[in-house]
Formats: sequence, C-alpha cells, structure tokens
Amino acid sequence: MTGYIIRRLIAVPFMLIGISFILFMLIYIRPGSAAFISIGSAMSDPANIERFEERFGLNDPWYEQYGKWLGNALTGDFGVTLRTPHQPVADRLADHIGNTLQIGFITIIMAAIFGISVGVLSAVRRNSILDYIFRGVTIAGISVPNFWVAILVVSLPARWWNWTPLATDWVSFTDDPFRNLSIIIWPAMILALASAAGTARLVRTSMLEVFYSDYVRTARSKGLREGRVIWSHVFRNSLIPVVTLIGLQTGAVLGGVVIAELIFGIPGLGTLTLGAVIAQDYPLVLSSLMLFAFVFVVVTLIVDVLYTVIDPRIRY
Amino acid sequence: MRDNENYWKRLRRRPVSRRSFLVGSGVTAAGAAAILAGCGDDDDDDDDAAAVATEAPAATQAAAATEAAAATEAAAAATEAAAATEAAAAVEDDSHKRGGTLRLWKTTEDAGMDPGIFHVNNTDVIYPTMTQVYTYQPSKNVFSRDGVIGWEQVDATTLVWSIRPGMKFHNGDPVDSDSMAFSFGRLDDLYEAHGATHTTNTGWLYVDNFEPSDELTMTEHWKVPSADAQVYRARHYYSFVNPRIVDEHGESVGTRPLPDGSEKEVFAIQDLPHGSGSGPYTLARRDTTGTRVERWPDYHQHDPADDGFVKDGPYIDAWETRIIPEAASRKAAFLAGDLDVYADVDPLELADFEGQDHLQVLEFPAGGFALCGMDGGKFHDKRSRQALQKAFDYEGFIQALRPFGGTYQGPVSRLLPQYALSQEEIKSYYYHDPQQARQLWEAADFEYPMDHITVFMGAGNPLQLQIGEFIAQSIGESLGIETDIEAVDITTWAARALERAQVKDWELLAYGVGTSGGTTGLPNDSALINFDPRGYGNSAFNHSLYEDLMPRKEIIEDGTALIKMLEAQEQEVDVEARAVLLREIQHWILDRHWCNWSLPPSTVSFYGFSSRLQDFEPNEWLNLYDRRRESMWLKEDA
Repeated sequence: MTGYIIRRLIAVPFMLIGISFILFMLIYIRPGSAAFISIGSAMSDPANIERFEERFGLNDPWYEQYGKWLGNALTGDFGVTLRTPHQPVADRLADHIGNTLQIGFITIIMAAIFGISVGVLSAVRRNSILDYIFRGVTIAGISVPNFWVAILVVSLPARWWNWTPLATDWVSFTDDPFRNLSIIIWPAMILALASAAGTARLVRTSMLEVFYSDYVRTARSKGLREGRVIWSHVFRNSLIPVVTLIGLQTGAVLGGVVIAELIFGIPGLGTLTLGAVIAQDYPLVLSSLMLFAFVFVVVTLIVDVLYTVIDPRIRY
Repeated sequence: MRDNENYWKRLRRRPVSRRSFLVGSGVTAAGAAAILAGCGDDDDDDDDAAAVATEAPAATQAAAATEAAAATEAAAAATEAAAATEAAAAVEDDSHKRGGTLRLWKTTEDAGMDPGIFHVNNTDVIYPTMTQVYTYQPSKNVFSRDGVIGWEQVDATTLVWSIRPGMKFHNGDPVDSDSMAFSFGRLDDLYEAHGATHTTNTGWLYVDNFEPSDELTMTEHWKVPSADAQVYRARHYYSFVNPRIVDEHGESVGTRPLPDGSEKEVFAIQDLPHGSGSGPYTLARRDTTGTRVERWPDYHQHDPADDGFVKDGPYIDAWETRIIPEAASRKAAFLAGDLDVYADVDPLELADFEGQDHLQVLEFPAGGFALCGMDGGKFHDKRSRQALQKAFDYEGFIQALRPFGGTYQGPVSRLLPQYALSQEEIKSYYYHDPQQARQLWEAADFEYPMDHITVFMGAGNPLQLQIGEFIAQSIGESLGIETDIEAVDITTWAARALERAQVKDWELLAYGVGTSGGTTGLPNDSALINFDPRGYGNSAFNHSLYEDLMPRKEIIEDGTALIKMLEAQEQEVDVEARAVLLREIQHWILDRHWCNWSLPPSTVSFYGFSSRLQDFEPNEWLNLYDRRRESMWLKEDA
C-alpha cells in the first residue's frame, strides 16, 4: 500500500507536466494577443504591441515560452499577470481559491449526504411511491443543466418577489461567516443537485444488486435485524462504486463552480479564470487550470486509497 | 419621425418638479442673458466682435455659447442669479437629498486605474475620485465648470484655463497649473512609451505644448486649430493627476525617445495610490468583488455651482460597483432592486420590467451604430463593395430586427443633425437591388477567388448573432453565393479583426447592434472613425495607407485624400463650414462604398434606472464620458 502511494505520488508531477503542456498548447494556438487587452488601445501603434510582447516574452518560440513558465513554476514562481497592474499570479490565485474550495467542499458534502440518503431510502423502499418520486427527481437532477437551474434560481425570485440570492453584497467567511454561508449555499445546492442525483441513482442500483446476494440472505437467515443487514452488509458493500463516482464528480463540481461563480457573482477561481481567458492572460490561465488539475489528481489519489479502507480485499 | 413624436410626448407628460423648474429657469435666464450680451457686444463694437468671430475658434457652437455665458458680465450675473436661486432652494430642502450609496455594476475587474491609460471598467472610480476641467452635457450643449472657473480661446491655437482656487489633492498637495500641465502632457508620454493613452496620434497631432502661465493659469498651445478639443477636455482622461504621486509611486511603463536622442522614462499609477486625485470621493475598496468610493470630507466647494454640481459637494455618500459578469444575473439584481443603474434594455424584454415600481425604463432616441465592414484586401474593386451594399435588404432588416422601427444612417449619427445626411440622401446609396448587385459582382475584379463569404462577429450579444445571420442570408440570396457566419469571443474577434495582414481570414465584419442611445456630441464617435484610414479603416478593413499591407494604389490614393478631408473638418471651427465639409466627406465615403456600410439602427433605445435615483440626467448617462453628476441624489422611500 505504501509502495503504491509512493508510486502514485511520484507519478503526480509527470501527470501535471503533461497536463500543463496540453493546456499551454491550447492557449498558444488561440489567435490574438494579451497585448490588445493590456495595452488597451486597439489602434495602438504595432511597435507598442511588439514592445509589450517582447517585455513578457510573448513573441518567443512556443518551446521557450513553455520552458520558461515550467522552469519558474517548478520553483514556485508562477510569474505575473499580463493585465496591468502586473500582480504575482500566486497572489491572485491565493485571493480567489478560498471561495472556490469553500463552494466545492460544501457541494461535495451536500451531494454525498443527499445522494446517499436518497439512494438508500429509494433502495430500501423500492417500488414505493417514495421510490418513484425520488427516481423522478434524480432523473430530472441529472438531465437539467446546472447553469440553467442557476439562472432560474437567480432570476425567478427577482421577478416574482424582488429578491435574488445573488452575491451583490459579498462578504468573506472570515468577515461574516453566517452571511457568507447564506450566499455560498445557493450555488452549492445547485451544483449538489446533479451530483446528488447521480450518486443517489448509483447507490440505489448498487444496493439493490447487493440486496439479493447470497451473503445478505445468509445475514437475514442468521436473524440479524433489517437495519443491521442494510448498514453493515448491504450499504458498505455497495459503497465502492459510489466512492468512485464521488471522486469523479469532484472534476465536474470544479467545472460547475466556474459557471456557478459567474452566475452568482462570487469572486472565486472560476471568475478569475474566465476573466483571464478573455484577456488572454496565459500565465494566469495556465496556473489557474493547473490548480484545478492538481486538486483533481489529489482527489483521485485519495479515492484510490479509500478503496482499501472500504474493501479490505483490494490490494495494490 | 413617429418615434420622435412619441418621445417628446412622453417627455411632455413627465411631471416637472420645483427643482427642475428652478434649474430650467436659471439656465434659460443665463442663456437669454448670454444672447442679450452677445447682441449688446455687436452693437457696441462691431469690429471686435468680427475679430472674435474670425479668430476665436471657440470650436463648436456649444462651446461658443458657453464661453460667451462665462465670459460676459451679464451672463455671469445671470448664472450667479440662477445659482443663488438654486442655492436658496437647496438650503430649503437639501438635507433629505444627502446620504446613501449609489449601486452600480461592471462585468469584470479593471485592468488598471491610471486615468491616462485606456482601460474599460475603471470609470466608476476615475470619475468620482478625480477632478476634470468641466463636464459636458451633449444633449444640452452645456459645459459645467469643475476644476476650472473659466477658459478663453485667445486665438485659433491658444486656449487659456483658469484653475479653481483652493483645490487640493487627497494628500493635501495643491492643484495648480503645474499639475494640470503635467496631467495633460503625460498623455502623449504614455502614448509614446506604452501606446495606451486614450488620445491616439490622430487626436493629439494638433497639440504643441501645455504651459503653466502662473500658479492658477495654464495655457495650451496648438499647432493647428481643433474643433473638438474642448469637448474632449471634458473626458476623464484629462483628469488632474498629482505629479508627486506619479513620481513617488508610479510604475515604469516604458521610455519615450526625445529629440536630443536621449530617452525619458514614463510612469503610470495603475493602483491609484492615495493622493492621486482631488475629486469628491476617495477609493475605499478595490478587490475581486468590485470597487467602493467614499466621500472625501475636504472636497473643495463649487461656488457658484454650475448645473450638475452642488456647492458643498455631492449628495450621495458613496458609489459601490459590483462585478456581475453574467447578463441574466445583472437583470435579476436590477429587478431585485440591488442596482440603481442597469443598462440598455432589449426591446423584446420590456415586458419583464413592467409593473415594477422600484425601477423605471426610459425611452431615448437611439444613437448607436450597426456596421458591416469589408476587407479591402479582398474587395479592393469599388464595384465589389457596391455589389455587397446593393445585395443587402435594408427594409427587410428593419422589419425583422427593429421591432420599434429602424432608420437609415450615414457615417455621422442622426443625433448630430447639423452634420448628418438626410434620410433621402442616405437612401440614394443604401437600397436593395439584387439584380444590380449581381451585375456589379460579376463585373468586379477579384484578386482572390470569391466563391464564399464569411460574416465574422463577436458572440457576446444575441442580437449581434441575428444581425450576422441576416447579413449572410441576405447577401447569399441576392448574389447567389455561399455564405456563413463565424462568431467568436470578443477578444479573439478583436484580435482577428485588427490583425495586420494583406487579407483577413474573414470577408465581412459585423459589429455594433445599433440599439444604444445617446451621443458624445462628436462626429468621430458616431461611426466616422470606422471609415478613417488613420483609425479602424486602416487596422480593421485594410483600406490602408501602407504599401506592405495594401498593394493597391487606388486604395492608398483614396485613403490619403480622405485623411486630408478629415483633417480639414477637424480644424474647421465654424459649425456651418464644418457641416459642409462633413457632408462632403460622407458623400465621398458613400459614393466609394468605403470600408463599411451602415445597417439601419433602431430608432429608439431603452435604459433602466432605479426609481430612487433622482436628478441623474438620463441623457448624459448614455454618454460614457459624463457620469459624475454631483447633484444626483437617492430618494430612499422610492
């Protein structure tokens, strides 16, 4: 196990370098230049555009640009933003990452709690009215895009009751935790909806498969109480695919956070990244996306390790 | 015409407050006094009056009228009387206007706060924290004095400013002629070193230098007369900037070569350190959620206060600007009462705002443009450009995309009637004739095979996509040619539009949706700059002056001729004479089908404001360059 974790940890930097290369090339082949945004004047003298590009190495060959970025990144220097004022990228990321992680964390917790609860209830009360309702809701949750639900949640109360859950008076968690949570909870709920729906359906299916297995029948025949049978034998053994799914959903949640932050006006990594993409601020885009990639790689590693905890038969 | 009638009918139905009545009376009195004073001057000294008329460029009629009001004793007396009347009214019921926070929005963070550097998304801080010489209200042709108490166009190329005494920057440094000369002069330094000033070379060529004459007098020397200089001076980039702050806290943005061969390092204040400005507010917060400016208690008095100013400073305590990137979210925030100023309202969404007492949607004559540009690298033959314009169905466009009516527009906006062409004149160029279009197309000379036309546009606005689709469909049907559209994000769009290449990777460039309102009062701002070979005509449409980009001699010759005509009208300070020149230029452009053709804009536009916002001069809010009205106030029970 320890050897497996060490091997995975060794692989992480190489995976990240591979991801960074692909991301860099995607940014590089995009037409246009950050100079247009940073210099600000579309009719600027081409000599000024060239001067800007030279200053930030934007007219170097791609391998030099990438090599320079990678070399600096490995030493913890992610460069400065191309948009003025040229702030350190690391500072910009640090300013924004807290809000994104907060939304992501609450989303995953809510998705896990609601998804597992609904899935278990749906499986235990299979083919009941409750089961049908839950199945309908979960299908809707999976089918309806997050961003559309978010726009409805923002727009309809405004039209009907002149109220909206938008973060028009944003406060950080440290300044006012309750106010902050009252803002964060809305995008987290919407993002959790799809994730919880997927989790619930998988929990239900997995539990129903286990319900009819031999060892469950054996447990019942030994006279164990139904609750004990469900939690100790059915639920635990149906968790492996669920944990995998929750791990994979982390990626979807991170992607969803970008849109949710945009719609709810929350200053997180999503809004920062989108602004950087529009401004073609490639050091910021690259570093921000690498942060997303890093979080995803780490979560995947944690999920793999969790397998061995849930199912002692699994050995790496 | 029908829509104008509706507009004025609505205007007439508006209740007139006592304050509005008093202000109106004051302005009328001042105007009447100015006219009387002007008549009197003619009677007393015809020779002097003639000399003034000949020598003083007093660039525009508006400027001349305002200057006359400021310059003559009678006007001053009338202004003072109006101000006194206003002051009396203000003393009476001023207190209930004070306080509150103005709530605004923007789509993204600013990219810098230096007023001399061109950036979007920073005027919410620049206007309230900086002092400008005056504000300009194009709808009324009124200049209201801010950082100056007067100005005089001494001769055609000399403009003298009298700075308001007693002004201080936020750190206590005095505002004087040195700081004013420094603030104006650094724009050229920034352009040369960084290429980023608002004032491009075309807007600067007439300037020679800025000279501090004494502590509170600054003189501008120009190389040639300029008709628009005074209007430009009202803009935020001519803010007074503290030289000491730039010196101590500025960030180097490059160097500019000097005539003696040496180089001068140029500095910018992108973080707007404390003490940079001398406006009524100071920057209290600037972060990823937006900005907040708060009242500066030591702000100088405006006594007497011109229209838009208050003797004791602005009524509103603070401006809060939130970053709301998503359009649906902005609309929700406005409907929820979380914003005081919305934006232009899509006519098809008007019903969404009905029955909401806490907000108001106002109707204005539309002043924006919608254009379709042609790549001169491909359409160098006039007949090909003419064919495209004849292939476009103008009336069909109005019926399909202008639910409240459309109008025809030339290179100069119809909101500048003294310069604009009549509908009949424009229609003699812009008409749909598919048969003629095909004949012209077949006769035209193409250096590159032209069997496919791509209409290229930004993807941010749904109406822009509809416009692009209409262009593609209309031209495809008329010319029997394959067409498609390509919509990309706005940055990519700008980059590909402005890319320096002999031929672009698109054929037609659709831009502007023609539904915005207002005018800045300048012909260049309407659409003319898009035809200008010194501007977008060169960079976007390859109607170029440079042989490396445009090998076609006829385009270069025409471009050179157009520049001469444009420069002549920019230097013509007599409004009537300038109108003649501008009309000639427009006919020249339309006759040669130069660069672009105008798609019919909407006749009306709609803008949303909260009901609690008072005395905000909605017409001027549509004008990007005048949004610092200190007499605005917030009616809290609205």
